[in-house]
Amino acid sequence: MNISRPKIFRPFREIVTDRHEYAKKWKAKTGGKVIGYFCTYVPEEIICAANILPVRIIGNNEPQTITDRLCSRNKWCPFSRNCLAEGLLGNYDYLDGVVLGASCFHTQEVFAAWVKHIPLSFWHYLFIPGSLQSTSADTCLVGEFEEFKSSLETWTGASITTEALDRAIETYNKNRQLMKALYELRKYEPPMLAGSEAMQTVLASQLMDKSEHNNILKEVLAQLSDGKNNVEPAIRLMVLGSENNDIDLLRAIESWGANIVIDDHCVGSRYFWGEITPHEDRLRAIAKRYIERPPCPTKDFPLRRRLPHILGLIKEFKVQTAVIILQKFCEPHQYDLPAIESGLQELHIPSVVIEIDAPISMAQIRTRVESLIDMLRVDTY
Amino acid sequence: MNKTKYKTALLDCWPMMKELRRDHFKHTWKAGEKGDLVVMGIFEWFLALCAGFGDYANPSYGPYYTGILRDKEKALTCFNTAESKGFKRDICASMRCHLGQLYMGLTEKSPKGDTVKPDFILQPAACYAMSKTGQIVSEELGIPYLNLEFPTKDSGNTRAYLTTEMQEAIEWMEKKTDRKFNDELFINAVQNEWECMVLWARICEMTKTIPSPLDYRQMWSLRIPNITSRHKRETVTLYRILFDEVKERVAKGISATPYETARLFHQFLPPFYALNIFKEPWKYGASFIGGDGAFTSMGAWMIHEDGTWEAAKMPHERGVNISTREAALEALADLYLGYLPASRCTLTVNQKEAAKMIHDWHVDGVVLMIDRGCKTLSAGQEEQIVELKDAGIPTMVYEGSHADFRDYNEIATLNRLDFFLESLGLKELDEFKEGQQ
Repeated sequence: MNISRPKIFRPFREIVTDRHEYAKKWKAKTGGKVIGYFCTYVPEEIICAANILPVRIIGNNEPQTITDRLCSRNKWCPFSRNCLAEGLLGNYDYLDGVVLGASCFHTQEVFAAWVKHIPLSFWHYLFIPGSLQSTSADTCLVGEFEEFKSSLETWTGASITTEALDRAIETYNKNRQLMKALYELRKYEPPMLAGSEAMQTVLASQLMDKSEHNNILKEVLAQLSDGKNNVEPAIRLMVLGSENNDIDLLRAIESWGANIVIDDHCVGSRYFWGEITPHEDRLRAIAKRYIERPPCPTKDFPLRRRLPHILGLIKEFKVQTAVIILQKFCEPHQYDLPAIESGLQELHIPSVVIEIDAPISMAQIRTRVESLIDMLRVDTY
Repeated sequence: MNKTKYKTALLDCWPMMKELRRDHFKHTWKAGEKGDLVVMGIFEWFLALCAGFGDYANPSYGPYYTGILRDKEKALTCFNTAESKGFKRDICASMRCHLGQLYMGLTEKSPKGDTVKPDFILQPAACYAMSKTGQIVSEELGIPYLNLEFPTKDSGNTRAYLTTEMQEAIEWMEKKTDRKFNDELFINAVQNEWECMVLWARICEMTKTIPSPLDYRQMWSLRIPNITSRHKRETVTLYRILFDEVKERVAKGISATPYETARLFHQFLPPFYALNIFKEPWKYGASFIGGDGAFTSMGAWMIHEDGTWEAAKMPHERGVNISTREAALEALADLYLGYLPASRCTLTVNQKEAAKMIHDWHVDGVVLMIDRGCKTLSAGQEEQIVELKDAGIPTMVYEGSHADFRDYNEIATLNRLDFFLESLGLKELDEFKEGQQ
């Protein structure tokens, strides 16, 4: 199995594994509130500036039945079903509130179900325009962020100061710089870290205090820069597609003879790519970053920005092949599929599409991904 | 069980509705001769926006959508074509039909073989699938494309955004077509749009009456001009006539069907190609008298705190004067964000309001179709089913697709509906057994 040096990434692995414990401890230690958020278009900076811990709500990728009464298995994507299950099971009982950055309808449904079935003292629905390229989108987004800031202030009884926003922006920008530096190490041949380790790092950053993540990440980068590299050379592979937080799946793909060197999904580069450029109007500065970040398919109108970004990553990270991972029933990503496959073909990048459910069918996936990798090995060696 | 036999009568305005529908579909191929614009996209909202350029054709869902759905062989070819291009079967069936027409080269081809080039695609972003389909059609045909955001929540901020966007859309259309936008035409169209939607909701309200003056099969057809052409004066005329006619039927106790042994609702979209599901209960003397698919497809409603549905009031009835472009834009934003329940279905309509509506319409049973393809209108379906069951309302759920016949098992569904009706204590009426229907 291709992993760099397990000890280096252990802190992130532990936080991902015991994510609920981490949040509970943080709460006990700081006495602060914790907000769960759906979708990475939620401006965490504003939550952080209110001294609240933002925690991304994710499912556990395991089969469950608790949601069967409320959401059909034949319609909802497994990720959204499992996010709801986690709430109904009480695994997020430490949350004080939830916030949605409106994207796909399944996420909106999960949010609505959370609001209805899980008692919390705060919830907020952020409308995020799909046409983020439109000239008036930034004003709308700033307006949404102002409403969100104001509702947080009312809820907490404390105002969010400009200084606090500046500190949060700085912390988040630092995190994005560090994450980008970590991803730079994936450009090496062989890469300095495994894809599963990269995902662990991103996922941990969505679950923990960003300053603490920054501190650990600095140490990780320092340790990785000692010139040693335990990763074996292998086919350079990109994963892209729907939300995917299944680290075991990535580990398995790498064990079949590939190094995952880059990704485009929301537990990967799409989450942290692009920094906030300072501006007198802090909320406008934050909005600009969310407008310009690599888009989710639900925000990619009228021109396609996502496809050129993916093709750019392929060149930059010297990708040889791609695995497109779709959550079952994920319509936004299903819609992007023909254009992406066609773009990959133009670059002569062979790819395979795998659809995941909970539980995933690892044997089927293995057959397909291994065939893809074997085919490339024959061509390469 | 109500065994009363009621008077029935044909609707006088039915031929007028059919004429308007025919005109709409023919317009696409005649627009060129008349110098009218051809607007593509699933353009069902903010219809008045394009009316500032005069009359325009609007082949939503592709020009052959209805005909294709009615013909299984054609539908299969169309779906196969879209799927062969990589669009998966879970994607909205209507959009796959639209894409199938595109890749079959039908989108710009008239039945006589002429080519009609659409002027632009204006896609209100009512759902992701529509926006994405618009983008793809634009790329394939090289037509300008504008995705007009349709906010999923109503607030001062989203209203301001929508109004700005519509103003920008007008400027964009002027640039793309090199035509001048006429404010007077636009203002009239906004008033027409408002009036049609209010009238439709008022007509739906009258189906609370026992016996119901309209049944759902009729309503499903009667709603079409309201979807396609409600910005036009002739559509207002149709709904004014229909409103008066329905009011008279209520006064005279004229029923849509001879019996009302049970009053049923159909929630969410039905299978468009198999609307005989609405007639199935007739043999039991039961009748579908309403449902959110028709009520909210372009009805303007106020939903009160307790979940009560009431037809909206016209702007002038609330003292709102629409005499400038700005006022008209605000009136449009008000209509769609404030009074169209389907646009904010995710958090509201499918839950307690649905149960209240069903109670107020004196409904005995509810039939619901689960359609995995339509992510928007199926939002909150399961929550609604739970809500209805908890409220003690008998429900029947079936799986299907509003547009793809392959996802609908007609025999099994109609059998299930028969069992459901029998579970309500109904029996097939003798006169229907004797083949008198």
